[in-house]
Amino acid sequence: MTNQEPLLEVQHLSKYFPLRGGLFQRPVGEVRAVDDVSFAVYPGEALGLVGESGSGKTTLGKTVLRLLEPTAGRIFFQGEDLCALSAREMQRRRAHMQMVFQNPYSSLNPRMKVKDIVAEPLVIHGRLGGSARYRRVRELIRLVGLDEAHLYRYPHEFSGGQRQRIGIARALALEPRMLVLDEPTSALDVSVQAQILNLLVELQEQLGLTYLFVSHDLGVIRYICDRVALMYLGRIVELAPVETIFERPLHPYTQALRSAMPEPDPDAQDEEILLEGEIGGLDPGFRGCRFAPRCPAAKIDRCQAEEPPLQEVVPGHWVACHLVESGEEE
Amino acid sequence: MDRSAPLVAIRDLRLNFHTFEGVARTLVGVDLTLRRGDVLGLVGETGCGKTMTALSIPRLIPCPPGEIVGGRVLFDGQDVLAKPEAEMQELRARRMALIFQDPTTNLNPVFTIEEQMVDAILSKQGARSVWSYTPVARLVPTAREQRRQARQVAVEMLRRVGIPHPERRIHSYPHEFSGGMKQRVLIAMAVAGRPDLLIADEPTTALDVSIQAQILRLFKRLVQEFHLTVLLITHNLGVVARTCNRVAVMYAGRVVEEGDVRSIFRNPRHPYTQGLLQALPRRGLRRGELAGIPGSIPSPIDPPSGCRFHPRCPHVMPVCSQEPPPPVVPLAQDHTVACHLYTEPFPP
Repeated sequence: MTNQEPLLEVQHLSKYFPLRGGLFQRPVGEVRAVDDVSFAVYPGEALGLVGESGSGKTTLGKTVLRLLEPTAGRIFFQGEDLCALSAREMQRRRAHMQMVFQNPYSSLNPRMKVKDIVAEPLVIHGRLGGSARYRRVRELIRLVGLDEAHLYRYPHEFSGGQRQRIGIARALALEPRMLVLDEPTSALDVSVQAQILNLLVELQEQLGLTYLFVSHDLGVIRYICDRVALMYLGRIVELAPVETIFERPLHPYTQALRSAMPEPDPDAQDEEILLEGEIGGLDPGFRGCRFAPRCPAAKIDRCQAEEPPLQEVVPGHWVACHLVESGEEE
Repeated sequence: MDRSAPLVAIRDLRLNFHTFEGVARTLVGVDLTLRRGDVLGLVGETGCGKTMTALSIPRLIPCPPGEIVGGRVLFDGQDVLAKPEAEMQELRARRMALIFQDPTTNLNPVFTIEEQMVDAILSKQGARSVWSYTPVARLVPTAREQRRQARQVAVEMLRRVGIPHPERRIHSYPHEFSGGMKQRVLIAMAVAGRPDLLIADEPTTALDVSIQAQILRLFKRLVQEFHLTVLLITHNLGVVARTCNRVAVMYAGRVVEEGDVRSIFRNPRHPYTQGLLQALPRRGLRRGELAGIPGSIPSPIDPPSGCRFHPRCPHVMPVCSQEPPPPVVPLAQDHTVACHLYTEPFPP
């Protein structure tokens, strides 16, 4: 996989949001939602972005598509620097990288028929006129497991799972190479979630898609992804193949999250590593490891003083932790 | 009081909701038993009626538009549905407690934690006097003493649910707490009155996994400390496996399978329970191997005939769509199922 050219490469990407306050709503600080993140996605793989709320995973997903303008850093898609493009050029590139949103109830326009929702990307990008366009729409709706009769209905007539299928059909309309999926199943029930996950697996095999899959659900990530990046407070703390993340995690946060994940098996309870406290804001003066205040592992002075960089400890396994680096673990 | 009798027994409960689209048959013969000391997980997908089943015990179903059209709900042997409202309120205050999914909407944003907890504790002690609740209470010595004691209880409870510096934090407003901490406050409030029954409706759904693990551990500890009987509503089977000793699986207004947690997870009998467990992404499963349940949840307004699961069932037989819903059959020690596949009790 590593000798391949990455489809998407992100270098030192940051996204800060200004915090405003005071009488004139002047910026008084900033929220570092994504802070100096680098990773690559290779063609045909599914990379999972996992983290708790506030870890910056959704912001990262959106910034990669430049739906949010990055504060710093560069994004390469098929070798081309996206940050250097004008808005118009960027829009054209987005035909190759589409997004599926979390909430299928708010991401479909309630006043549009399904056929118009699915056709909209084709209209915007001026692809396929007249009957060819609707042939494509019919093809898409069958591809996601719905019926042609559904095309003439409105979103409210569908269940959550069916709506998410419509959202996927829309994302596939322009034959993208990559999909950014932002928690596509977290609003769905388990039985329906399984249907959608299977659809995503099928589509990936059938169309050779590349996924950037954002989720907080480790079970879903384990099922669908090849590699996983774990985020904590805007940083990637561990990046490794999925089996490694689940069987031999190195970062204390990954280990704790892994043990906190309730397995649907009454006898398979691992030793729980309970994390103290909660994901909190970042003190602007603090220069140490972001996870240090909650870290259950033995703390060394460096954890408080210095932010650990993301380093490759084993080929393909990246960890940002002073303890791992200094060989005190494993 | 008979300690061996179940704390809660719901028998053939039927509930309709009158909506603009027609009558929604939300519960169609729910049977559920909670023995003392049980931690029962009530699982099912959206709209299956698990919250309504739970709310029938403190009789908090909004009627109208709801209408209970049949069945009985017994709490400690007393028929809850037949009680006058005043007695019911007393029963709720002294013996039951509820926790909900979203801790933010269940705390009043304009009062401090202290005010809310003291009021809750006083009402659970059955303080009827209006004096106890109003600002005037600060002038009446007995009421002041009552509030002071209640405040001590509140601080102690906050300490026991793991809120750091409770004497100081009790003066905070809800917005000064995080989601996990708010849920702890609500749990403290719920168990402060030493209830017998705790109903928790998706208590960890709005929380992150690491916080969920903290809350579940707290839950387990409190169950032991306070000898609680718990009805835990959730759609997360992982939470059930980690927390509960018994499980009831609901589908479209009925309990389709009920039993010991190991028995249900190891040896699920109802095709819906089997499907639900197979639909979970779990350890050792490879891509493409996940089995979903085809179709979607039926509408309670126009449900399928016979067994409501039959259109999605992989083992459907002609009888399933024709006959009325199958009766509940005991399969083994503490394991019952309602499915036409099992018409005869299993030989021991």
